[in-house]
Amino acid sequence: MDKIKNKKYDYIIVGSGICGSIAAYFLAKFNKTVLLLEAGETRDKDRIEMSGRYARTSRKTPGSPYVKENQFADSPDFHENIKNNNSEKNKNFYVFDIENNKFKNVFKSTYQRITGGSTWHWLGNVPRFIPSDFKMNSIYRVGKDWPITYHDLETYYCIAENEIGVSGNHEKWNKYLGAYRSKSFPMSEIWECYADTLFIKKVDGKSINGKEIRILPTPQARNSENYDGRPACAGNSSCVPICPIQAKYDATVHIKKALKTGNVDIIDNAVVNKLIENENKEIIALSYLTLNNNKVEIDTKTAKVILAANSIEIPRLLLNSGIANSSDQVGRNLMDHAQGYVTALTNEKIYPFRGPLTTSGIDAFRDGEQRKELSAFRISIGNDGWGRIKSPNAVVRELIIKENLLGSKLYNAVEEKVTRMIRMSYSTEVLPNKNNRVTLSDIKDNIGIRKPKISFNISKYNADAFEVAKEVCTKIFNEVGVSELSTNDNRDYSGAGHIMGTTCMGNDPEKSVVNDYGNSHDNHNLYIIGPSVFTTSGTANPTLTAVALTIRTIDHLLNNKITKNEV
Amino acid sequence: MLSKKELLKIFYKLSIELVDIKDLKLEVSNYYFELLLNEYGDDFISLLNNNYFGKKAKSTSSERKLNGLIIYLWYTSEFITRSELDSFFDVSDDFNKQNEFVHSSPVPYYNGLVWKAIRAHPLGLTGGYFGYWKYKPEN
Repeated sequence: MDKIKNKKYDYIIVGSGICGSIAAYFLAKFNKTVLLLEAGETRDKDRIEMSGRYARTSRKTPGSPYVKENQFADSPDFHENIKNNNSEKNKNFYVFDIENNKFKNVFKSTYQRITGGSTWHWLGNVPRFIPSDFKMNSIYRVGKDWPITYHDLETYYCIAENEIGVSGNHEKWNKYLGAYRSKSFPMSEIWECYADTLFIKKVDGKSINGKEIRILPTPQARNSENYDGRPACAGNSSCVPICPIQAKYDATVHIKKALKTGNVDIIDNAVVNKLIENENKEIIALSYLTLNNNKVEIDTKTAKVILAANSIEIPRLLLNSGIANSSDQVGRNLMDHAQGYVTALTNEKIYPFRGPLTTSGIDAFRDGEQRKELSAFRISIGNDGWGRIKSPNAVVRELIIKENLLGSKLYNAVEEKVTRMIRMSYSTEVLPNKNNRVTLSDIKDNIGIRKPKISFNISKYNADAFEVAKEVCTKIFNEVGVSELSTNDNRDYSGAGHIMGTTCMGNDPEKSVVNDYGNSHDNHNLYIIGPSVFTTSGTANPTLTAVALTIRTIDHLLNNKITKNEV
Repeated sequence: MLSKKELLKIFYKLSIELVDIKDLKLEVSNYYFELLLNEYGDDFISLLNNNYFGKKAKSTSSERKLNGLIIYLWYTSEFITRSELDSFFDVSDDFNKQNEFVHSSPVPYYNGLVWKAIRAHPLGLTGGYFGYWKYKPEN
């Protein structure tokens, strides 16, 4: 540890999720030395044990495989589960500013503090943003324009798809919604599930609310063949919270590659709590807490510091340090995709819970003139029954206690219902809003760091989109042939786990935190990567765009060696 | 008084009757027996005794609840503790609560009858191959 502490690194990266680990890998590949600091624990050898814990526990949340006694850095998902220290400090990871909140769910998206980050439990859907997502203000007079365009990012999208291994259908996606593709996906698409074949037969090509409906195979960071030393997906259907065979990409892939270069050191259970700057606004040191709450300080005078935590932890660290916030924008413009659902029972059996949790989507509503008035949305077709709305276990319980069923009657009733359960979920774009923000609570967590306080509201822009999305889903379901249609109360929307914004990029140092390369406007040796730099949230799952932006930043730092190497 | 060995057998037989499936895994049955015995003690023994001595027709509300729990356990592997009993049988509930119980082994989950009933596999244990999900399940 002392050897690492006294070593001089070219780069110090905070956070070993997908962006931190890919950044570390590329920097190390081109002979830069990197220290990677991770708040969570390294558990890549525990995959079987963690998959087993998922099977053993009744509570099957995204964080359930990762619960461990004596966890050092807590995660929002399982904070209530921690049994070893049930004090007030451990209750509620987020502190909510609920006084002004009109909705039931303030902010429900979570993340995982573990080496490899939330990619352990992500779904792995990786559609690209579309060109108009980057120009919301110019085209639709809402939101903001990014300081870059789709064209600036296209090459990096291709590199990102290659690095993480994306399965997709080039012909179907090339130029769709204006998003051209200069290269094919590295793997052909993940096959659609049985339910999707019904949707394709009954709905594909029809016009609904003025849009041509196409059932498209969702690009996925999931292998459709052996790729990069990992096997093809075998349809374990537990992508969230854990892929037992690593057919789904997770960031431990790039951590291993980075470590193999010999240029990277990693310290886990290291919670960075402070950055220190000098009068020239240079980050000269950072400190982190270790197990047993020892505090370690690292000299960063000769290094560049890259923050790759996430959209909650990065502003938490910057605000706690009083750094990079001359714009007063740190923590502001917290975004997510506000989601709702429509569920139904299909007339014919569609046999969910076999294969990835979703394989197809409907992307036709991700763009169009309606974006001036209401949010665009992306629809995903579930392969997991009613998803979070009602589990197969809940159906069994209901049949036992409401219908008093047992024996073969129960067995047949379970089969009859669950094999016809289907959901469509819609994800709407939350626009940047300065009042949706992360600040610091006066309450401290179990290791003495001020908790993140969250203020979050969704607007009429989303609520109106919910109504249209429900109408569209209902029409689609009616084409498919269903009964028992049901939907959520608009006030009970859910988060998508797509935590974005809070250190947004822009050209104007008075209105943004970083420039288009993620370089802090205030601190020249400080960079930020990941979805926290997004200017707007679009409707695509954010990870691929975050990785593409990360590679663009690192390419810039390496004088374009990555893109030159690609050519 | 019946011996533990006899009670284990009665529990296995009762389980088969309740779910109407004959090939229940004995290892799982024995494990569930211990869980139920620890949590429900005399109520559980009484249920088994009444079952053995043919007093099913006079079963009490508490015994009917235990029967329900046993069926639910075999289907889902979710174990309901005594403190959760009332809310488990609350018909006004949204039925989607998940408790915090953690088994010592994944075997009960993998043997949950729900997976068999819905023609799927336990989530996390496929036994399948790439693309099987595109087709209807085989018999």
